[in-house]
Amino acid sequence: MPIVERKVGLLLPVIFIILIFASTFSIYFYFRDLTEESIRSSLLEQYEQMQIASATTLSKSIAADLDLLMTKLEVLAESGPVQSGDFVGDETNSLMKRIFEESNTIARIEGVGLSNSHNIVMNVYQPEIDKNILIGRNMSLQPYVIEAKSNLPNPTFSNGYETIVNEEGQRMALLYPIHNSQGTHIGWSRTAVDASRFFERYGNIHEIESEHFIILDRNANILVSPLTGLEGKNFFENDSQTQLGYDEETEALFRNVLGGDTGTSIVQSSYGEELTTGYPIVIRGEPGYFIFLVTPASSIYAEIEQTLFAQKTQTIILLSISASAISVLVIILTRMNSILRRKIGERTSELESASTKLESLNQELDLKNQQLMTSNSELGEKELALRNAMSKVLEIGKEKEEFSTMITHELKTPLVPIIGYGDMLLKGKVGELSISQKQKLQIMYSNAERLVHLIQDILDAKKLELGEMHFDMRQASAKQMIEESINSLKPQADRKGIHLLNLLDRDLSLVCDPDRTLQVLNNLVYNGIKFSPDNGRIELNARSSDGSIVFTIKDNGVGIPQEKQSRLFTKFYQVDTSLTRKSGGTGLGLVICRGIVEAHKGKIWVESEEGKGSIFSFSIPVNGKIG
Amino acid sequence: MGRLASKRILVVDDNKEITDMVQSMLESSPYSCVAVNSGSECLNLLKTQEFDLVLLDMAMPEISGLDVLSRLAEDDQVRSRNIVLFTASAMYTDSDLKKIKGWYGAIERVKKPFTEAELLAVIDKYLK
Repeated sequence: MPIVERKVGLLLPVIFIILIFASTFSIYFYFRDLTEESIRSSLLEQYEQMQIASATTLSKSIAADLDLLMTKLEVLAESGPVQSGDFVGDETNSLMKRIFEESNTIARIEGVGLSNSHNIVMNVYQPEIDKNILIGRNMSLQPYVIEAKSNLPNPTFSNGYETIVNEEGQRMALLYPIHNSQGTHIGWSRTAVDASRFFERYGNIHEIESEHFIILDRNANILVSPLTGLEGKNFFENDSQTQLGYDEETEALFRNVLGGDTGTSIVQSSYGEELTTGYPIVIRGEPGYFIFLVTPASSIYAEIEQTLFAQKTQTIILLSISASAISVLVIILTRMNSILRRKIGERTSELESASTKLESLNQELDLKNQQLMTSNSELGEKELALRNAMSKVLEIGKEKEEFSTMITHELKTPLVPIIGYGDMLLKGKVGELSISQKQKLQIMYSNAERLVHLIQDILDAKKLELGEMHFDMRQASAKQMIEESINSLKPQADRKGIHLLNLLDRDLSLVCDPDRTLQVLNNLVYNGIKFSPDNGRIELNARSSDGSIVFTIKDNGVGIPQEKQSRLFTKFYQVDTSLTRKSGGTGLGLVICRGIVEAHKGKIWVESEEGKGSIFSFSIPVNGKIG
Repeated sequence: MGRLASKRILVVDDNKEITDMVQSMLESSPYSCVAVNSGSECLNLLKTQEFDLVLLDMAMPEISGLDVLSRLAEDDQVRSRNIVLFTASAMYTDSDLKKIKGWYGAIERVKKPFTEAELLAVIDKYLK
């Protein structure tokens, strides 16, 4: 589990980072073309605006310079001497020189001249050339003079023209009309400039590969152009077009500008795409010349690409930085997550182990519970088994009891006719017997009686032992019981010549089972008879003592040794076994006596001295209850 | 004492030797004696005849003395007319004795074995 988790923990952030980079850059690449295009177009627009601005500036500064030159000519034309017709005086000369010098600070002019209304050169200030060569020339056929005539009374900024002196390039003439005080046109103050020399101070007019400009005059003739040989040629003529390679769209643009509008567009030329801005150079409210500022598109594009590249680089760097930042964040989060996860895992495993412990404890408890239940059921089973065994034992006991009861019954039954008929025979009820016959029958009868007693003793002992002896409690008389006992045992006592004496002089009453109490008395008296010598004496008495009646049976017999007295009332104990055999008895007599007395909550005891006789005593509570 | 005037005693014991003996013991007595040797005979006889006293053995097979007594106890007529005496036996418990004493007012027991004198002493107690 931990290995897999660690792998996952490493793998996840890596995947995340890759995803972040991929999504970032795919978004970038998806939008790049769109953005690039818009950037391109916006950059191009910026360039256009810049070009329009610089074209405006250029045209204005050119116009301003030309206007300033014209102002100089105006100063000359409206000077006092010149207005009054003095074209060659000293004052005029010095003014011309000053005008020339001042004008030269503006542009390179060829010279300053004055001509009359017939266009004859009257005066010239031109340091490089001898003025006499020029003075007197008739200029009336020069195109710029024709132009100036038609422009009267306004000054003229002429279209381009060529001279014999200087064949290389186009020239521009500036003419200011001179009017006298009456307002009559009397001549011109004039000057001329070389177009190339004049315009080159405003920018590149030679290199077609880089930003340059073209100047056209009002006739669409080319004043300056980087392509040599095109000066003086009409822009729209085949010759120019072949060289320039402009398409129709470009022509339209040029025509618009010549019509007085401004315009900018990307045009196709022989030198590739070009950004061209056309602008009229307006001097004194009229378009004098037209400037076309041209930038090769390649250079613009190169710059755009450079800018784009810079922007791209910037973007990529920014994206990388942000992606990296996100990645770092992801890593940190992942770390934190993994830490959290680990901690949660630790906690979970702790909880799990605790849970497992609990579970195992629970299982142990369950097991113990089960064991307890098992042992409980075992106990139950054992209890049941014990109960069964007990009931079996009890049954067996009952069977035994029934058995012993039955045995005694079965033993007794044969004795019933023996005793019944024996008694009748002895009493002569069925005929007189001889003395010898009577003696022998008496022995038989006595032995039968002994057998009856033995059986009865066993039965009684058994009943006492089981607590099943029934006691019929009722009011009884001690005296009566003693007398009854003496009466019932007189025959046995008489046979040994023993005297049974009732020493009770007054009656004592008590609640007891008289039959059982009599049984005790009889037993004790019978014992006395048995263990007394012939012609002995047995005294029976009773007295009241501590809520009980104490019966005493005193004999003058053999007596009982001190050490044997305590065991006298225990089962099957006889003082002298030989004597027992002689006198008969089960040894149960005293045990039965004790049982009956104790059932009455009384006591039985003996006082005896060997050779002097014994006194047997038993107490029965007056208000006897069976316990 | 005329024959008609003599009191009638029913002796019930499964042992014929004993009923014979009782009959011989009562031969010289003023009482006339009828003997049967089973509980069922006893019950049948008691339905048709009147006796002044019944000597009943407790330990009999099939219908015991106790059974006879319990059946007699259901019949108020029989119970009121007869003084029941039963011959003693080891075959009943003290609780049985208590039960019987609840059914009958005059109950006496004679322990087996018994002599002629002992038997007559008990009978005389009720019939004299």
